[in-house]
Amino acid sequence: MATIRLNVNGQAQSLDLPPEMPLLWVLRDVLNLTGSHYGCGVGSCGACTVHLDGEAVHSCLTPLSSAAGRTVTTIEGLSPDGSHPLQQAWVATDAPQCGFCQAGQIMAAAALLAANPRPTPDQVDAGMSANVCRCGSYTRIRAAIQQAAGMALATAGGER
Amino acid sequence: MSVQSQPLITRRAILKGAAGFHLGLLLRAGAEPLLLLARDLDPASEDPSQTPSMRMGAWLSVTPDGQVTLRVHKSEMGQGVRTGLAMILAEELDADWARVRVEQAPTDPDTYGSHSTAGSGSTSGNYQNLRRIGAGARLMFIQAAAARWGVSAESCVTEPGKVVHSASRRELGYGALADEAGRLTPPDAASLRLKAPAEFRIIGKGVNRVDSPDIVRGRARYTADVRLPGMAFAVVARCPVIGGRPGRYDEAAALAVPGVIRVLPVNRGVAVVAENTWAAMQGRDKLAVEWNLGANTGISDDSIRAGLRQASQSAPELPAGRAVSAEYDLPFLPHAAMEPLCCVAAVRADGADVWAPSQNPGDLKRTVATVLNLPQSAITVHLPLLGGSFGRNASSTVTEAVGLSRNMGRPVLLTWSREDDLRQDNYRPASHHRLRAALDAGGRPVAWQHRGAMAGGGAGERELTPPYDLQGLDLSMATASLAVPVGAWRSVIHSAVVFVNESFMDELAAAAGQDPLAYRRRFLTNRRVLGVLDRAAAEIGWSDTLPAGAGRGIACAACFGSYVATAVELTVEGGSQVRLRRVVVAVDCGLPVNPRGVESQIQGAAIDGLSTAFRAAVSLKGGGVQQSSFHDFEWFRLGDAPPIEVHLVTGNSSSPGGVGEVGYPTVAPAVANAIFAATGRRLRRLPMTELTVIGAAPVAAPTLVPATATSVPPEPTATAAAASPTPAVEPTATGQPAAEQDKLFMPRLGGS
Repeated sequence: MATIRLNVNGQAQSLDLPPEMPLLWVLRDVLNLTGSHYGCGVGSCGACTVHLDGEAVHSCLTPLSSAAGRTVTTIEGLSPDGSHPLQQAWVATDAPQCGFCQAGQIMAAAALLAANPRPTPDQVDAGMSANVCRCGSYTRIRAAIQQAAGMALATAGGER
Repeated sequence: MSVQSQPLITRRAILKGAAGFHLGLLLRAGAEPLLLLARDLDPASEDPSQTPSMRMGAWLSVTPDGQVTLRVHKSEMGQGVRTGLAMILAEELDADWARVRVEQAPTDPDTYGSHSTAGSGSTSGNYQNLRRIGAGARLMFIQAAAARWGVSAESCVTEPGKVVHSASRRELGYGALADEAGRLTPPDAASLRLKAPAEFRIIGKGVNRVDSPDIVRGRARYTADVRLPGMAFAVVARCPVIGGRPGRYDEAAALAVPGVIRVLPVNRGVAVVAENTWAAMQGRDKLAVEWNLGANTGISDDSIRAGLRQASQSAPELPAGRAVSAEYDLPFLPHAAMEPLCCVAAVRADGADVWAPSQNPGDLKRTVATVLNLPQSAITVHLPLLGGSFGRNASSTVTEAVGLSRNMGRPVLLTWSREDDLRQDNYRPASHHRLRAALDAGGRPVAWQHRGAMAGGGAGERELTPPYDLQGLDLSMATASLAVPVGAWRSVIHSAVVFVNESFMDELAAAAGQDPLAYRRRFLTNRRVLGVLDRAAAEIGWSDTLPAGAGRGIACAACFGSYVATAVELTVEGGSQVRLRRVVVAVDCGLPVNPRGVESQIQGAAIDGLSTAFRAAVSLKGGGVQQSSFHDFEWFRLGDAPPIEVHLVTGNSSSPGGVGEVGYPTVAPAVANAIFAATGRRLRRLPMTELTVIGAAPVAAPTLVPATATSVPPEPTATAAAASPTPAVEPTATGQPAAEQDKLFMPRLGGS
């Protein structure tokens, strides 16, 4: 198998691994970057969401080969010190419950805001629709995204 | 292969470091101060003279720099217990919350008492005990400062993180006093003065979760994230039919997959052990196991429904009056925690270390010791964060992983696939309910009969009693043996019974021609249920005019020592499209230790309630569960979530009640009652798959694959809740003793 080169969280990696190996397992089991989580393996939950050249992807469905020569950002690399506006907003709104899905939620939201810094509530809903939170922390996830985006807070209990 | 250098952070390393960190500090292990008790207490029966001893140093330490470390002995599964219990300790210690860090206690039931985290009892069952531990330590700091200053202890007070002598305006931080305080003999319980609620600086104030900073940076460690030197990765091929066993399989094909190390049989499956999880999964897919499907291939939704009906007994003739009857059906529900079941086992000849997402790690210690035929003292059970749990039981996973590690002679991380997790669970029992009532001329029920059956376990009068003051109750549920494994699931029996009772109460109101809220109030004498019902009704604007097609529903319950009412406002468009407008929940959980955490739990439970009301359940066909992942087990997503308002009703008790499970039971009946109000249509079977929830977001969830990707998604590859008491009258200060709850919520095997 050929060596596959890619950049993960700012570090160059040269990996002799099967090209079809999903990026998720490369991150978790080879690079020991365990912040991206396995929740389903079939792209139905979003717990594994990372950025590939800034775009949100399900790392469980992304073969290593398609990351060749590209830049991968995981939750560990979103900011050097947890200072990304979404990370701060996630803490300030006390969004996480069990927390297992939250890396994926934050990475999905980060890609959303990078592409659309002032999303409407509908755009937030759509942008986050690939992610499941089994604990149901959506009320606060929504608040955190709004806070990070500097959006006007929707009136609690109002029409959306 | 070049691999990024990544420190292997393990729980063991962390704990080892922590142990060194404590040496020579306050409450040193060497001092072994004996003070109070470690077991979950019934706060209503506190009698310090009857409590066994404990090591205070096991619970807290303070370093000379003023850093306070508090240990929490319950499983953190998202319910905020690590934050809430630490708040209680910190309050009475009068710690500066900014200087507090929280550590998971070692699994050591002899020191900490029960680690079992169940029945929403962690806070209520430990509230007084943890306060006394904190207060004892605070008194020791006061005594140390008083000795240093040559003044009386009584003349000193504490402020967050320090002792103050007001008369001389002197003060000393806990860090500066740590060494001296640690040498003192801890006070006996009788000499402690607990704070009056008015003195609270932390309890009741609303604190953010202590784990969030690590979670948002990807640094929180779950069992699935434990990495040990030499660790292998395993998955198991499992029979799609319940109770089936493996026959022949192609071991050579699996071993031919690069990275696969071994193929090993486990209890009801075949394990593939590899150098990484993906190789193990590839190997598993090559096994081509020929399954001995066993005796359960006839199980289907229809057979389950028939079995439940068959097991249901009939009730006697109703007395004279207007008869109302209704039948309700509830499905099996999987736990579907975000972290699929998993376990890390590192077995040596003389002992083992185990990491597992367990709600009862103390029990696991016994299990592992039995499996390995070793003394419990040789087994270390580590408890990382749990990626959800909702009542599930990790013990079978642990047994499998321990066996694999023993066979491999190296640490093994066993991961259940999502398909395994959904198809091999111990499910919330399916149930069938037949309700009948007779109303007098004024609409008052003179008889209320509840019959039916539940998979794997029945229910009695105490569990089936509605929260109203009613005459003529005749309540019993039979056990149906259906072979489908069952277990505890968030709110346990209340998850079914409250839907049934509160739907039926609504039907009685309709039959009596009365407003559902007014009808409920007519028969409510429990002032705390009345309090939450009135609050929810007021907050949703029960009497306000509704637009066309809209309806409001309400439901209330008493459970886990707390009281809850949920009101839902929705519209139904085109006969089946539901737009959720508002969900309002009022909760009286006594003293809310962390109101911010309570709100979070209730919001999450509302999403549970909505997801399982409308669409999330498992169905069975050919003896197996049909759902395989979140595309067909359709949990709510962000765009589905309506605004959820949580209102706390306080002032009725100075002790905390349960919270984690309390928010779930009233949601589905409030939805069903709102659907009825909007359409006149009464839905008695969950989930209400004839309806579709519409929101702002697209219904279909996208799959995010890179534009250049050529990947093919992998092919998705199949005990009854014991009852908890529903207080029909005011319970004792904080509800039931936690010890009793633990016993009640031990799942038992169902069916076959």
